[in-house]
Amino acid sequence: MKSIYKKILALGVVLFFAQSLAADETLELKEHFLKKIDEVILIVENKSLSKDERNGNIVKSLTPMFDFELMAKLSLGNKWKELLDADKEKFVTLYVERMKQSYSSKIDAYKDEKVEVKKIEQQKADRVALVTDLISKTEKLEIVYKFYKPKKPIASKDNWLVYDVEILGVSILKTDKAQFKEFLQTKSIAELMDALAKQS
Amino acid sequence: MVVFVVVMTLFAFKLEIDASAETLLLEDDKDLEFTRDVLKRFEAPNFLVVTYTTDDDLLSQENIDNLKLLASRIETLKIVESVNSIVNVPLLQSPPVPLKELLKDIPTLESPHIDKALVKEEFLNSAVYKQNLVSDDFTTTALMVNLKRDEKYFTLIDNRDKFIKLKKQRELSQEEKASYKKASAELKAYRDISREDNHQTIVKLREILKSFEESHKKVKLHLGGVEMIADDMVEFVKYDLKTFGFLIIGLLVAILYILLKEAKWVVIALFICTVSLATTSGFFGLLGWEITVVSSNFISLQLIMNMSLVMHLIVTYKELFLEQPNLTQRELALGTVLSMAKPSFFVVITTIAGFSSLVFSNIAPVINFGWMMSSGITISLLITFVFFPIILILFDKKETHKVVQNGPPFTSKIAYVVHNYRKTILAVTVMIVIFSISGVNKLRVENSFIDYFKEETQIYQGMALIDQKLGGTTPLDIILTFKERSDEVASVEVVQSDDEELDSFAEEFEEKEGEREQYWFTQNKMRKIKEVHDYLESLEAVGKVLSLSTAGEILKVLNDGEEADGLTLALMYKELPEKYRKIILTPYVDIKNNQARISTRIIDSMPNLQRDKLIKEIDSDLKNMLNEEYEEHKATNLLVMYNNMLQSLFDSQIKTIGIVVLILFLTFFALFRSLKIAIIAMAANLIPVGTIFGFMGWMNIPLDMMTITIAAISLGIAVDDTIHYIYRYSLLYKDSKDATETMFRAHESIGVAMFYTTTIIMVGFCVLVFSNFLPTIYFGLLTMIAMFMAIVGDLVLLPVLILIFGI
Repeated sequence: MKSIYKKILALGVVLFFAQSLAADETLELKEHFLKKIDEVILIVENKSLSKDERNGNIVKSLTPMFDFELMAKLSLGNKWKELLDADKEKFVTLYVERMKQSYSSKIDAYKDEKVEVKKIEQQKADRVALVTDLISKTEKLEIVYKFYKPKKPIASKDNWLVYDVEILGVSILKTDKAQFKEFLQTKSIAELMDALAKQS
Repeated sequence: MVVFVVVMTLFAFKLEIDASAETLLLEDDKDLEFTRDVLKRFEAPNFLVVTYTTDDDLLSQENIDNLKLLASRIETLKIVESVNSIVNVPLLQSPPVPLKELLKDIPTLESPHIDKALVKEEFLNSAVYKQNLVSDDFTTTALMVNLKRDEKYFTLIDNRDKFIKLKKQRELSQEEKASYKKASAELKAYRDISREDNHQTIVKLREILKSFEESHKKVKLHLGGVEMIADDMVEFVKYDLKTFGFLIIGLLVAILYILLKEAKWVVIALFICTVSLATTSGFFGLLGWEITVVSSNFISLQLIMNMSLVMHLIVTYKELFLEQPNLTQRELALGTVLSMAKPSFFVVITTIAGFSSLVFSNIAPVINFGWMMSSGITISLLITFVFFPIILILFDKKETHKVVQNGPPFTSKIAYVVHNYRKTILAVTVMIVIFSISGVNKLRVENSFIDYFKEETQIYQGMALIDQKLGGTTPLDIILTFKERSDEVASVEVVQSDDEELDSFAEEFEEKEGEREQYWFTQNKMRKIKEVHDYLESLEAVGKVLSLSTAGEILKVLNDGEEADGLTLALMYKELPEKYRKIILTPYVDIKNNQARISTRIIDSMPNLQRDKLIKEIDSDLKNMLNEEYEEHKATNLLVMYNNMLQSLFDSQIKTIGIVVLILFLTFFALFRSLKIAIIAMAANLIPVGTIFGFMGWMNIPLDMMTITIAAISLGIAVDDTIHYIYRYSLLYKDSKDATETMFRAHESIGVAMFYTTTIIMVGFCVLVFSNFLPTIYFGLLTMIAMFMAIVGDLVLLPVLILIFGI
């Protein structure tokens, strides 16, 4: 065979495998995600746990899958670069704590809903969005989990990490970004952190 | 000549009345522009309010059925878009359920299994509904009759206004002038139609309410709303025009006959006045000038002043006849006219001077009124002086009676008093001046729509009910603008891998225009809005306050008492069905322009309410509450605009009184060529007119749109008698050179005419006291008093000053 055809064939084979690899990867992600969801549901349904214990366990379970640090960074936007390292850590902690509190009440409202992944969207090689439905007896709520794959794997974290969640098209991250941006127009980051601390 | 008059009369039928809000406002009021813009952007609907009062349980099936029936009948009207009542408003807290569930299916009073006790709770306590939809005692509820938005009207106004703006910057081209004219004509034509439509709607609505009340005896209904105020004012104006036109004519006929004792004079006077009026009306119709609330009295005024002119001519004719009985009719007629020509001319000039001060007021209808009266009186002068001699000449000379038959006239007695009590008169004058000055200091400019109408009228009762039980009537909006620093461009410095990672997300999180809306509702903004909202609610004069904070309060209830966070707010914005969004959100926010609207209504009937002070107070308090760099505020809507108009009117009147005094002074000087006379004449007039304002100050009668015009009018008319007197006096003095004797003779001759004409004027104005429109009543009453003081001044003070200082 001519060398060019060989090259094309080789390329084709590689691409074919890359696709499958990619396809495999996203399926793997989906499986991993659903497993996590089951884990969380088990925790929620465990009535013997106190609310605090329950929430703590959920966070422990989800932490490997969520890149809280990135979320905190993104919510601050350019202001993040102005923070000292010690403050960066503090901010992430406060952010996570606040998230915990916000969604704790939403978890309270959980009543036997099921989670179904209805679509997997991959816009870039390192971005996957799992479009899921939260199905209760009367309705379906669309929730999109946005995953990214960090260039360098992060210790004690999964390969694919959640950086944003969209509920009915409303992005949690964008909501926070808008709030923080407005807050920081008139106040300092220190005051923002105080406000976050108060909310938790 | 006759043809001309006939033609003019035909045009008279084109004369129209306009009492829209536009006519009450400044020509280029920025606040009007802003208000129109706000109402357009926030899609705040135009509405009328029907109040429904019953002693029964408001939520009984009977009442619910009644309300539904009433609403359905009202909805048949063409310009009604929808009707909101307790029957169909969304129930957000009966019972309180999580927002998610609520949004799925928002119940109303008609939903199955609805708990009425909870509904009553909600109506009485919910931020949206309490004191708005239902009264605190739960006996009265409001039906909001939403009117169709008139997009065409706004478009036409914009079309016309862009030329007005252009005109201010530069000269318009021929083409532009033509377009401007066309746009104005289109707007006017459309406004005429829609005004008539609106009026018919209100008439039909009133019929519906009346027939409903008749078939449902336990229910009491009232109609209210800003639209209605405007419509009712027009109706009152029309009614006054018709009624008083005839009433005054009738009265004047009576008076003329009593004074002149001959039918022929009455007929002549009436004929001349009617012709003048017809011609003037035709003139206005031709020019397209509309009668407004302010100028609604022009017919009465012109009639009165014209009568006065004719009266002087008649009296002079009679005097001439008796003095020189051998003159032919023609000679008598011409002699009369010529001898009265000069003073009459100056009389008209001074009256015009008085009215022309109104032209400087910057308020369209007031300016218009000034022009109307000035042209009216000019036409009267021309027609009177043309027709009077003509008519006389056409008829044979007849024996005429002395004007006053038995003994010396009443005015001679006054002359006697003047002669013998000079010091007393001066002392009284000084006291009056003190009274006036102290009273003037207490004058205030204030207006209250509710105070325009008598307590027995439907409109007053409706407004009072809404004012006191359903949250107030006059709208006042506060617009908050949130300024944002523009999005900083994400820097592309690639320093660490960290930043690279971060930057790769930059594009995803760039603000997309379409998404901006749902993320606009941050807690920060909501808190700010709430702060302003709560402040406004705390003010005594402010009734109901509605804003995004209201929605926030409801969310809080649904969120177990916790403030809704950004996510919940965003979700709510997205998921709320359109029909509820229109009630709770859209009128209170304009995301594109970063603005929130806090809509309030002022309790107009609150005694001692000082609107200007209130607006200023709110303005300064808000300045302190908000951070200027990020949050701007502006007050707008009817309260502000009307207040602007009044304050402007007040300011301009103060300024122009000076101009009027100057013009009058110069006129006196030109006529009599003596500084001394000019000063004396001014004094004799300013003092009586000043008394009126002193009176108003002491009696707490506020200066208002109509009463503010009194100064100019009174001055303009009061000087007429002064001119006549001094003119006659100087003529007589030339002969006798004896001041006292001249005074007596003047009193006996011109004094009589002055007395008669003043009587006519006073009677004419007292008719206005029967109007249903309070400003007209005040106007009539106060002008009457002014005229009385003027004649007293001219027959008592003026001669004293002349005797003391000499001519």
